Amino acid sequence: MTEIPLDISYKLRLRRLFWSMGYFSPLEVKLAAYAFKFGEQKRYDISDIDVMGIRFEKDLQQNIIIGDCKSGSESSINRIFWLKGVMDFFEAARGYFVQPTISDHTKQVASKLNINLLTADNFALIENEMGIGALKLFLFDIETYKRAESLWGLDIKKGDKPTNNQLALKEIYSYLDYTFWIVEDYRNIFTIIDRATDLQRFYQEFQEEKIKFLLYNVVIMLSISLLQMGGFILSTDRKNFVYQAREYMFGGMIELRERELLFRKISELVKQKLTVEPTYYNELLELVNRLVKFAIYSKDIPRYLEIVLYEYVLNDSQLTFDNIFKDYSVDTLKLTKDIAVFLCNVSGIDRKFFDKLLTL
Amino acid sequence: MADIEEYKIGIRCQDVQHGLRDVQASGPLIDLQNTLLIGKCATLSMHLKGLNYVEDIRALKYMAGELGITSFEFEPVLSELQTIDFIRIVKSEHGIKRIEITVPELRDGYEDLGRRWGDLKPTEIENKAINLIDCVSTIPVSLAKAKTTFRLTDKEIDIISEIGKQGTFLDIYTMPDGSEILYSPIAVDENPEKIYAFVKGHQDNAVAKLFTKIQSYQGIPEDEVGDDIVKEAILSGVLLSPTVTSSSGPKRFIFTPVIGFTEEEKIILDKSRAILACVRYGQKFASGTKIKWPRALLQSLLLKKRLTAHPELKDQYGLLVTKGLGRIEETTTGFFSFTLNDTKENMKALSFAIQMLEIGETQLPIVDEDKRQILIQNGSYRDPASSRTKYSRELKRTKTTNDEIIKIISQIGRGSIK
Repeated sequence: MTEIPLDISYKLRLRRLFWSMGYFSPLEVKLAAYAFKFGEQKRYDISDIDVMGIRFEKDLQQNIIIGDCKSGSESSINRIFWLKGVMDFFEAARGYFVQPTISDHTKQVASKLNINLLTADNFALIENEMGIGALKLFLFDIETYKRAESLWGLDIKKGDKPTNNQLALKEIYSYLDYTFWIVEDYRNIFTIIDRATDLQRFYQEFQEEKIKFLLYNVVIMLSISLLQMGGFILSTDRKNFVYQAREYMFGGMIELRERELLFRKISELVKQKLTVEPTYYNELLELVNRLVKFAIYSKDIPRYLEIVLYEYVLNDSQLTFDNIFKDYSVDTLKLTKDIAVFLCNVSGIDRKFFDKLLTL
Repeated sequence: MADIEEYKIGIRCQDVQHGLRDVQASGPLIDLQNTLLIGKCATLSMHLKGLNYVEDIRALKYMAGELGITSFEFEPVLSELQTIDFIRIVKSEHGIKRIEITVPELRDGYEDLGRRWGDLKPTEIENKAINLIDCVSTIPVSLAKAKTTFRLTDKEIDIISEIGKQGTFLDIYTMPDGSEILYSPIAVDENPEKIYAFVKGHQDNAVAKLFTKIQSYQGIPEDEVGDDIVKEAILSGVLLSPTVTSSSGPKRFIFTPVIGFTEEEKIILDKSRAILACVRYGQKFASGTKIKWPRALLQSLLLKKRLTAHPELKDQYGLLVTKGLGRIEETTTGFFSFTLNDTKENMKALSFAIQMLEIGETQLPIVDEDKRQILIQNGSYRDPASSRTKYSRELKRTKTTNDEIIKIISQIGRGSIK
């Protein structure tokens, strides 16, 4: 049996801990910033987050936690200050820092910064006490992790000139890897749909398994964005759903008015009536309305998608949903499908990619 | 394709299906098969609206049956609903495992249904029938004008009027001068303002008196007002008479049309009438304990969204279940409860049923839990359109009452009522 590198092992174990606490838990979330250099927009990679935890409450308010894993003996005090900065950036409520050993003075600082420390011994003890050591899901499995890694991104040999479609696909990966996490939440819904619509034009050129993996991740990101929108509506004015939804989707009333003006001008120029709302706008509202109405169920959609992807798409798990989720709900499963079907309907993507989900 | 808007087509398909739900699809009805299919889709989908999924397929079939969808038509109707993305059918090796519901809630779905009707390539006679029904649903028209406007041959008008008579959504009246007028009871239901105006302006008229009486006690049993004028008023659409069948046999309850509901909200109004008719049944005809305080019962359901049911009803699906208003669930104590499907439509239907009930009732006493079961008794409900159809087969029109009703309809049609 191959030995698992310690940092990966930590990441997968932390994912398991987060998962058992009800979080959707993406690994290696990249953090970047964009700036103009020589007239071109450039991306500057800043860092990456080993494990992120996102949980939606029953009112769809988002709760984020951040995990950082270190297998070596680098300065833990420096690292927890870095972690605190990342937590602030993502408005995370709590941080988790894992390292085989952690100095005593770090412990004093960490508690003030809302950071939980997990040394090797403590981590094992907590896992044992929480009864999650025996939790065997492909989501925490090293082989599946490697497979997922191999299916993500493009492998263009050095010296080869990428085709236009490869460049377009690369942009989609780049958006999901970096941009999604740093732009305003409301922008992501339209962007994801646009990207999926682009992808639909050329995905036949690429390996089906790769595209399927990508599409599930697209749906996961879309589900997060839609739940964020639902959270906004629930926290502002549920009764005036349509009004609130419109305000959210277009970045507030002032921005909406500006966009409408812009569309009016363009319509005059091209002599064709164009509206600020995309053609699928009403369907989108129907979907979000359903997510809001059934918020107590829709809150877990990203976790359900994660399980479908890792257990049934990447593997052939024998576990059923009610084995995996103590509070399994058909309502959640159904709403999960609603999002996938919506994406297919509006982007033209074939539903066959979501066969495993849609037949559940 | 019919010349009217798609959403109107959807509504008219539903009107036709409502009227013809108990008529066997043979003879001239074969010519309306797409219309009937879409009408059934409309009726079922409007009852599913607001729900997330249904796993009890037997219950769904039962409900569909109550809505006039036979077991043979059940799967074709589901298939159509799946085509327009109103549902998803999840299958297992044993058949249908679950129906996942995505009927639009923020808009009515009639436009989608009307579009699908067009995609199904309706026959020429269906096109003409839909156009004609839509036209007379607004205002009666002379037969001669209808023939010209819709390019109807004598044979076509015979077929359409024959079906219309069977379904009580279209009829021909011969005026004293010999001219023939096409009219529809739907016109009154969709334009109740006119009949209200008539009642206000003709208070000594027999129909107006009857109308006022029923207005003050919506859902009055037919036995308490039954005479020829009532029957003719029902046939012409001036009054509506849903039927409830339960432990004491079938009973009809009379309602007046209601102002303030759009034509897209017919299903909600029908649910309200179903609730109230059911309560009236419990009040007047229940074989066991009768409902004494109907308003308190409905208020309680509105607030708690749940009623406790008697154990003997555990295997029965109640009347309200068949209307998509709720479901029966077993409680931990071995009892059964009725839980309201908390959809916007159902809450509106329930609130409106209470409003209809509140006329003439002022007290709000403590609810007697034992009596709640009466609401959930096994039974069947026939909406006003299909009850009207049944009526048309049972009733021989008398000349006097017929003339009285038709006179009103004609006046309404000509716009002579202030």
